[in-house]
Amino acid sequence: MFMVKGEYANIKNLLRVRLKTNAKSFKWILILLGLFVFVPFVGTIVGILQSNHVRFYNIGDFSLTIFFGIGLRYFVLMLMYRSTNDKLSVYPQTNNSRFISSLLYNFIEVFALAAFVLATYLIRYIIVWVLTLFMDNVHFALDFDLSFIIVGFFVYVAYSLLIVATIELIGVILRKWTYYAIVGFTAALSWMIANFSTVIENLRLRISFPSNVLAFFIEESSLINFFIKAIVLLVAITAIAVVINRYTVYYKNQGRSLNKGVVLGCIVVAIAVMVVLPYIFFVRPIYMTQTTGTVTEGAIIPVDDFFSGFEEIRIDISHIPNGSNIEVRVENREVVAEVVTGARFFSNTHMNISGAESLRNIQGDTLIISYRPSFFQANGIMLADFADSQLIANLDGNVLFVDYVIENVQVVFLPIWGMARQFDFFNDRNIFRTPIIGISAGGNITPNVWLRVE
Amino acid sequence: MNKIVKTTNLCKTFGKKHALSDVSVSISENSITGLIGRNGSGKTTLMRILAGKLDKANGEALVFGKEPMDNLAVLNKMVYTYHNVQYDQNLHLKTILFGYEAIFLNFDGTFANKLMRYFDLTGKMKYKSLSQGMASIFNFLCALSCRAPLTMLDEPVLGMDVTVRKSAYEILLRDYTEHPRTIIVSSHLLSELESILSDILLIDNGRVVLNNSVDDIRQSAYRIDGTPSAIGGYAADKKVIMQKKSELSSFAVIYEQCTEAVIESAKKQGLTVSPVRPEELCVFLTQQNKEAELECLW
Repeated sequence: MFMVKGEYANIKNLLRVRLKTNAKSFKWILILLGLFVFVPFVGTIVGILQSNHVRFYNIGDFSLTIFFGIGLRYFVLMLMYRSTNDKLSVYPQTNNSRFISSLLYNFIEVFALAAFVLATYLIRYIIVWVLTLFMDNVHFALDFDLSFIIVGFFVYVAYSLLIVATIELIGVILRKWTYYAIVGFTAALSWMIANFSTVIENLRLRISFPSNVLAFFIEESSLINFFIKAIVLLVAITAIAVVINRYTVYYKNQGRSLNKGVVLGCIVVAIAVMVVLPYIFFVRPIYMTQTTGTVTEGAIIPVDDFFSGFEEIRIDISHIPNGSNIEVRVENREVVAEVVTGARFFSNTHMNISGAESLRNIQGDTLIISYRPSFFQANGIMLADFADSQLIANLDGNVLFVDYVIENVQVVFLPIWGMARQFDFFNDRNIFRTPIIGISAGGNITPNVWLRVE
Repeated sequence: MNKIVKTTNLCKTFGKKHALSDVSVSISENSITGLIGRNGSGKTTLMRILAGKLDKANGEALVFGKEPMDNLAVLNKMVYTYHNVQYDQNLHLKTILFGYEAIFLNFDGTFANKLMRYFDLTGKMKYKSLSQGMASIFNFLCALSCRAPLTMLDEPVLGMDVTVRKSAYEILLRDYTEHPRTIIVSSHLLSELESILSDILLIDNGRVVLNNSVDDIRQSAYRIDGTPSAIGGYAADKKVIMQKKSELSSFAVIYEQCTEAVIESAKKQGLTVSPVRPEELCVFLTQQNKEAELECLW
């Protein structure tokens, strides 16, 4: 339906030429990306080997970086469609074979980039895993899950191909109906920005179209449904683009000066793709952490059952006369943890004390300190889970010093396929960063240390 | 003889400029046609339309009996190359040759490599490292090695030195003899091309001025030298395409077939008759009288 006699062979040959002629430049792209990944990673390894205190290494989700890179690269290539293809103009080709071979080449490149992301993840994982064999205090924050790695790869490829196909469709529309397309895309962009302001006001609020269209994908929790939707949409977008391109005269503007309308349209679409869409795609509720140690006054007096899961320290205060006060101090510590790369939310204070009022005008002989692991965390990861945190409490005169003692751990946060977290299939697995329970937006922290006198 | 190329009232405009106006030409199978014209005369525009790389405004352009644009049946039978083909500048020559070999069915890789060695080119050279002349050589040898039934070379010798140009023409003629096909060569240097051409297509300001075989063109005009009055008397009822009168020497170029009768008639009026070379004829047919403007420059 889409091809005439000989076109299939022509597409195949053009694709071979594109692969051969672009191999060198693509190789350099991979080398540069490799340096971008592995040079900081060398720093991580050196840090792990040399560190003598708690450290958190956020290596970051390279797949998301590359995903935005893919969007940017193919948007630029879409703008450069003519100049790119002029480099192959000496070879016989049709409008159809030119476009389809270009599209297939882009798809192959996307697949190669996804494979590269996977390879960089596996190499880094294996290196750190080897370290864990020799160093007991090195931990992965997230688990290695083979089914997630494989399925996530195809989810990533599906998202990337959809983005590339959409960009190609935009390019075809711009080339076919330049002025109408500019008007249309400008109107769409304006409308999106108008809706976008609503998104800013409430991060959880999903506005109608186009976010509903996006939600059709990004909120699909069934893997099978997602892949069905992705394949159907990919085929549909590609087919529409091929058909529109088929009826576009490629050489119509040859010899004419640069079309300012096209340039303007491209800028508008560029803004849409690079600024607005990423926000709509990836805006997520932000989980806040409190950044200073607090002593909570007037907290609810706990009942005994409440403390069933708590560790407990008992201190004899019989030598302190009833009616006296005990002052509580969270010791001034030096920095007990560092976040090496990419930290957004981090607190080196990990204690929220409740019940301090019970130490005023004391009536009893025993001070009971009930506690749970510290809030010691970075980037939403509870480092205390790895650090085997223990509370220490010393009574010096009528001053109570409390603090957590944390084991020297090196926690490596090496995530991948961050965009695949939408699926039920991956629920209840430690493969994504999960929010810290008990800490809510606005800075309130559920106490983890309770004081009472009996 | 089969007509490989046939255009009828072909027109092309760029904005308000008429690049081609009512161009009706035909090019025979297995001929070597020189597409001759001054800079900006429309040679490249015509070739690009024939190669399916430019949309025409009006008229008809048939190659192998069909419209060339987006027509693989036609495009697969032709190669169109020019002196500054826009390959990726960082490509090695061997990579570019790979592309030709992958796509052109008749491409002779062995022949291409022999030509590379002959012209001191190596596959490891980058296209951007080539001088204008070397780039022209490379594009020329690529096109020739395609052995396409229709080979179109747009200004193929631009930048080549005289020795290389002569080699290139010799190779072109020899390869044509071994593998006859239709070749169109555009140039404004007819003197060097003349010996290998079978036909000449002269265009000026987008219009066809001459479209004939070289032999016919050689016979199509002659020059007469003599006194101004004798020339004036002889040329009164003839088509004069060039005339110069002065006290020392006067001559005129008559656009008419040079027969024995014509020569006899001119001699009777005290005129000397001499042939006009095709290149001179092309110059006379396309030059504009700017002598007055030339004098104003100083």
